[in-house]
Amino acid sequence: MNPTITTLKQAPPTADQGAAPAAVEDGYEAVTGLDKETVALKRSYEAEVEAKVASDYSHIVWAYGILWSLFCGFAVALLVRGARQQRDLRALRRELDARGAQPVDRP
Amino acid sequence: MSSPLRSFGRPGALLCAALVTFPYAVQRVFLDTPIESEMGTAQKIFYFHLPMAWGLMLFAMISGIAAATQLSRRSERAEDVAKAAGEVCALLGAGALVSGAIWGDATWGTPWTGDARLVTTALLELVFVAYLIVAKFGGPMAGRLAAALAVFGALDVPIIYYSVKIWKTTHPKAQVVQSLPPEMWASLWPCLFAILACSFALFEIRLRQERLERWLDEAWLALSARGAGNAEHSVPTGRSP
Amino acid sequence: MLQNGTVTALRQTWVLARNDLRQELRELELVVTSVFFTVVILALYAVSFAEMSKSAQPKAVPGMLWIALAFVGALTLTRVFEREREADTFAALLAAPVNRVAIYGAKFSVTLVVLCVCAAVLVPGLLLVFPGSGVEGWSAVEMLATVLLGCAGFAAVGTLFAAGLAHSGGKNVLLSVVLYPLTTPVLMMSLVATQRVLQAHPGAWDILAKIAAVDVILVIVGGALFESVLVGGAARSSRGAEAGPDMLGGQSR
Repeated sequence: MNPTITTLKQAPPTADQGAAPAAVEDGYEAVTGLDKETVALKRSYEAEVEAKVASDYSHIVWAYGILWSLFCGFAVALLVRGARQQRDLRALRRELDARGAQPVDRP
Repeated sequence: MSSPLRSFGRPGALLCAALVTFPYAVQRVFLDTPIESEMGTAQKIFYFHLPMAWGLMLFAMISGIAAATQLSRRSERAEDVAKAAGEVCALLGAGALVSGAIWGDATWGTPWTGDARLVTTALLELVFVAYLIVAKFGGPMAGRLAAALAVFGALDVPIIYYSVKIWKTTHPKAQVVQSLPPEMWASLWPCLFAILACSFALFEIRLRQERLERWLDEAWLALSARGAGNAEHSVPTGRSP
Repeated sequence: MLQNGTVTALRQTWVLARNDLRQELRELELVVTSVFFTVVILALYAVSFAEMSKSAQPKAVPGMLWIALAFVGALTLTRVFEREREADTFAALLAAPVNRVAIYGAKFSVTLVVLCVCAAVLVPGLLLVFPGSGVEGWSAVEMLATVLLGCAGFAAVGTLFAAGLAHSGGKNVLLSVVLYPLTTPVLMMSLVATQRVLQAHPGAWDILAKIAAVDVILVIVGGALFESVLVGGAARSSRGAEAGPDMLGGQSR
């Protein structure tokens, strides 16, 4: 009923796996439960998930970052424009004052 | 100087609403919505991508209708609306395209496919970038030429979509649009609200600037046209926008 | 009354287009330059894609056809209106007691004729250079209809904007900026139609009918906008003086 043996039987014999029965003869017992391949499978699966999560994470950061920087860029452009208009307005008012006219209503 | 609250007005209120909704929306998207089973976490991009694409269509329509009004009634107000909406349109289009490409890269493994929606969005974005270019560099008739462009752009929305679908039939590639479960819709609404509120706020600020610009131009013109003595009669004394 | 107006406009269109075409027949300037440009593009295609496999040709050649026509179209449109501007006749034409839609129609027709002449060189040329692009027994009539409808859609949009740009001081660079995004849908449909025609696909007429429908929309909108784009300016500047206070009054809400 040892799962290690059954899996090893199915696997192609390699030098690495051939060593396992020899270990048993040395007085060691194979650990029951997870065999090497399942562990490798799990590890590779975990690595895949980790890669996916990392990739998703970086994609999300990029997407949200670019979105908000776009909006911020637009807002900054608006602010610059607004500041320019305010300067223009002040210049207009100064010009009017210099000509001795009534100042324009506050905008 | 004018009191900041007064000049803030509606766009300020909209911006505040967007600022309040936005953290709530992000929190909902990342903490309260289940992860989409097929696309994984990357699907979280969708919640801001879709509102941007919808906003693009909406502002394209606004710009097109305003441009048509501008042409038919020779309305300067409509021209300002069309221009402001065109700019917001280009902004939202860029956002939708970039976020779409990133999302596509995460889930399809490629930033671009010839899908009908993608091509439609890209063309619409091109039309409105062209609109801004023409409005800026078009010379003395820029306003009206750009308006005609916006009218065609808005009119093109269905034609583009339809023609891209025809074009796709020769290169079929199934892109199944999955129906969203209700909890995802529930998270989509705050995002949609945040994006639209923000867009409308920017739109209105831009609109006010456009009007102020016009007002300033006229004031300067009036000032330079008249002599120094009677300047107070010549300068428009209404409230600037 | 309405029908009367339509008939008059159609007759004026015919007169104006005939005049332009007659002048063109005398000088052959448009046709010669455009056809030469077409031949140059064809030569470039032949050189660039000489190694293209026969299996790739059916997909690539329709694209080449419509890209070339789009380039030639922009060139032709520019030239059609440049001529008027050089002779300073465009303003006079706009001031003449002619229905503006007739001017649009005339220029549209001239552009369409020139484009069709170019296509008459381009299509056989492409088939000669890339013999694998069509199957045996594709229909020349369908091809003619495809070229005619596709070029009509292109010219419908192009005439409006070329006229506007020529009238406003001739920044012709902007024509390509405007033209290509707007005409992509109709070019894309024509592309599919060309593919189907060359493959003797039974659904060719189906898509040709759709292009015709889009053409009708584009021509109607182009014609409707023509006057307000070109002539709206004079009215606006004369209205400028009264626009100020009116606008400011509206703003003191």
